[in-house]
Amino acid sequence: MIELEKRKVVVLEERVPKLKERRRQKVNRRLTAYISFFFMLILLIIYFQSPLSNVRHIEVKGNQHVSDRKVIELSGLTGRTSFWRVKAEKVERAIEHHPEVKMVTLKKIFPNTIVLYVKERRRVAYIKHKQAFFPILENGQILTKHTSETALSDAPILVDWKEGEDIQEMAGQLAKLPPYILNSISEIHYTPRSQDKYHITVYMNDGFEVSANVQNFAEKMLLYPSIVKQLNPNVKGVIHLEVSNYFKAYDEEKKGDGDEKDSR
Amino acid sequence: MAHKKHKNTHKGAALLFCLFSLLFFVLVFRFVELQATGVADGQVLAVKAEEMHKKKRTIEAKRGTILDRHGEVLAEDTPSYTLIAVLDPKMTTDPSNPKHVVDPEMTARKLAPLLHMDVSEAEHILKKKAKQVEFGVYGRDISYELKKKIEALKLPGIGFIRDTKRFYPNGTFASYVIGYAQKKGENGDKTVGMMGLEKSLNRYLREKDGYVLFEGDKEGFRLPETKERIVPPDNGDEVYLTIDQKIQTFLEDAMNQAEKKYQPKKIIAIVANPKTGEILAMGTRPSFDPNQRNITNYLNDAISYPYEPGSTMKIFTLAAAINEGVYNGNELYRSGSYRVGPNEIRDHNKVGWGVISFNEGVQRSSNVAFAKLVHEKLGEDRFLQYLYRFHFQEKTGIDLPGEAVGNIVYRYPIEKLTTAFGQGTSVTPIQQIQAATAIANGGKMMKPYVVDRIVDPDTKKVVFKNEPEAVGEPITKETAQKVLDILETVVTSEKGTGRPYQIEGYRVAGKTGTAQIPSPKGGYLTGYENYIFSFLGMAPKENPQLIMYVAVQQPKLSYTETGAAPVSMIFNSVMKNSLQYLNIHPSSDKTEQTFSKKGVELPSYAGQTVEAALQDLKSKGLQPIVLGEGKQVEAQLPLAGGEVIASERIILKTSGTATMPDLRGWSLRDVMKVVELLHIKPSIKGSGYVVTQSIRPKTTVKENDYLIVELAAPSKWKERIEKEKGKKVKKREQPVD
Repeated sequence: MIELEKRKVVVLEERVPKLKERRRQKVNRRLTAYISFFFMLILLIIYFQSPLSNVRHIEVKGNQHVSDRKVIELSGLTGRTSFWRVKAEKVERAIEHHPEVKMVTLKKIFPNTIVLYVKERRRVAYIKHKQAFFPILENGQILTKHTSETALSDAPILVDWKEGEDIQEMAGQLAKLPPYILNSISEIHYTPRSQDKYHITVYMNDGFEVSANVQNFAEKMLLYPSIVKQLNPNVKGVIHLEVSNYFKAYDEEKKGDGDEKDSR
Repeated sequence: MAHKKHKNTHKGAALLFCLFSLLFFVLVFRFVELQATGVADGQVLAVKAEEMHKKKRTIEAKRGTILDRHGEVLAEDTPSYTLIAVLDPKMTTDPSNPKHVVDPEMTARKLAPLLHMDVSEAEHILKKKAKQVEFGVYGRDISYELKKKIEALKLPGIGFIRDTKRFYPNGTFASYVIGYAQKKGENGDKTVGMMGLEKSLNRYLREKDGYVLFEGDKEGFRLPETKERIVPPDNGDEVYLTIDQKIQTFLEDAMNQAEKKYQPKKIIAIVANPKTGEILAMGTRPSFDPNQRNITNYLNDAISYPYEPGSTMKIFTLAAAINEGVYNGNELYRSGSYRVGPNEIRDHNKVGWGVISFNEGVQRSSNVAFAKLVHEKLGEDRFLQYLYRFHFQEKTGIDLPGEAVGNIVYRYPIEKLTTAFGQGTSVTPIQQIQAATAIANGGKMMKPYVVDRIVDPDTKKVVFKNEPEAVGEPITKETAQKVLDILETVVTSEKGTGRPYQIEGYRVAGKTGTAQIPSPKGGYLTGYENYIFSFLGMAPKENPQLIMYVAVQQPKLSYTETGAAPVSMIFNSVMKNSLQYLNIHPSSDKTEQTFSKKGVELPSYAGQTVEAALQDLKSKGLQPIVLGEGKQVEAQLPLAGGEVIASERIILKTSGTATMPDLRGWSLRDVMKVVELLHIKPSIKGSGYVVTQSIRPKTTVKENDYLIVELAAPSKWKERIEKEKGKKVKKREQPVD
């Protein structure tokens, strides 16, 4: 009897601390969960409140004429803009207001970098007007604000052109040209004749003169590389591309004999 | 009782106090002493500590790779493995996963066939009383593939030690040029070149192992946050050869076929670029595989075997006669035999062809024609001078080890005349190649070479660069052209001995040779096959791009075959394939330039060397203009990615001071490119093309300088230039008056 009682006491004594401990563990676990949740919340608030969540790096790629600063300015993005509040569409549209910008694609790179891929409108020519050069874009728009005293070397120069329809027509033709031909043209002079009001004289980089017509300029100029291949580079002259294509050296012209060498 | 106890306690406490104080002070004293002096037992402790922690680990360096002209690997260090077997049963801790050879019989049975050794021998090794054994030569230099195979057997106790091995991926391939390298030194851990370029360029190719010094624990792991000292390994320099792997492969294949079919004693062949003297391929038979080193002949016959060349020598006699203006091809002479004092010179068919012209004599390879030329027209002394001019008396100085030199035999009158057609006097094949470059290269004789450049792979610096070197101009350009014309008829004429060497689509010029072989018993060997048959040819004849010499000694011929059969078999296939591979258009095709309809897209040259950029631009048919004297391109216009048409000016700006180019005749747009790159201020007058420029050509230009350019319409440009010139002349004359 005594033995039995003793055993019971022992059992009870063993059981009580176990229960206690289990309860304590439960409380502990809950507490840790609460605390970590609390800290997570605080961290989140700190992140959103601090400059950590702001845009830090803005990279502009693919631009040649429009400066990085101008693009960023147009985008409206600053170091205080939240990275999470940048709306790609809105920013892209804002930058595309610039006449020289054709398309913009925005890309976000976590944690705080924004990359703007800019595609510019090609400059097809510069118009020379009273010591100033105005760029013409591929869509025919003339940038009157962006004048410079010197033309850049990335497009040919239009000389003696009066503003208006003619320039638009010429720009349309130039936009159709592949870049390698556009790159080989130095100057385009507007030289209307009594019977041909669209006549132009073109000076090429390689020293040849081209006499042509605005209306079919792009189509005819496609033949230029193959025509030049067959000419002696040391004999300069005029390549006529108005109706039929032929070459006439300067020396022959001076002598006055109408001996025309057909280059085709 | 209580009192007594109390008293004792006090005493004890005091005693203990004193004891520990003493100990404490002793320790403090020792501590301070050690800190202050850093010496214990006369030993500096810091050194001891470092000794304990310093660990050294070697970083293995690589012996220099040998590459062909296009960077194809011809010889390199590759990993190889040495097979080991652990025999000590103590190495096994877990019996279910044994770490030693449990069953030597079974292991030997499985391993032996893979290692190409006897089973009993392998078993003997595996039953040795040792902890660990190797398998000698059988177990060394095991390739990765074989290692995989052995591993797949899952034999317990069999393992590998990693090592490097010199590997020649092409096997028998320009073996005498490249040579071989082998493990040497007391532990067999040093690779040393033993032959060919491996030997002569050993000082460039050899590597030096580096090491890391660091502080580590006893396991060898680096302690955190300790400094380490790295001595980087110095990899051996990379050697780029002028050899073209493709052409060499054509040659090796052709030689293999000829060797199989005709079993000649020797084959010697060289392919070179006559414009530069670069050796594009060089090979001999018998040869060896440098991986196996089954060498029977230790000489590179192409450069170290002088022999009487036979009729190929007539090329140079002919060139000498033409150059001296004493050769008249239409003049007639009687062929057959020619008496000089007591001796008689005979044509190879003994009877000759009656009275024929000298041109026909060349085509038929008539000895009499050449003996007559030297004796009656050129004179023996003048001929000797030409032999010297063609450098037959000295080594070419090719950058290969072991070059020999021939011997001009010129004592007796008969010897002087036999030399004219290639007998008596001996020369090496490489001497003939060098002399022939003068014929193929408009009179300029180019020194042959095989090492193009040596590059340090760590720094990418070029340590050594070979440039083409003209070593003489034995004949004029006109002579060279005439010799080529006549040599072409040797191949094309119905009477020519070179008819077997015609290659469809290409014009070949060349000369056959049939040399007698001196008999060890005196005199010459006789018999249908006992000759060295050879051909020295160049193609395309209009502007030779390749020159090739082939010699085949004592081939086994059937009675229907001539000695030309094995030679032409090699020459024709190698020449044709190489010409096609080098994209040299067949002569018969009218070179129709199919120009590309599209423009050329410009790559970015920024960071490239000016030389490389210029070469690339020129090859694209563009006109490069360099501003500045720097070695590297900094900027370019038109920009990278822009498309241009042929002959467009491409402006490159380099570092360093910039100079103004001559702008005369340039278009406005090209001028603007220069303006943009140099950041100067332009003032443009007129339109068209440049007539005058305010900054004179070749003067240095600074940023923001003013450049005044006057242009004129192209139709008036010529007149304006004339006028400007006139003005200048006048201006200059005035002060003189």
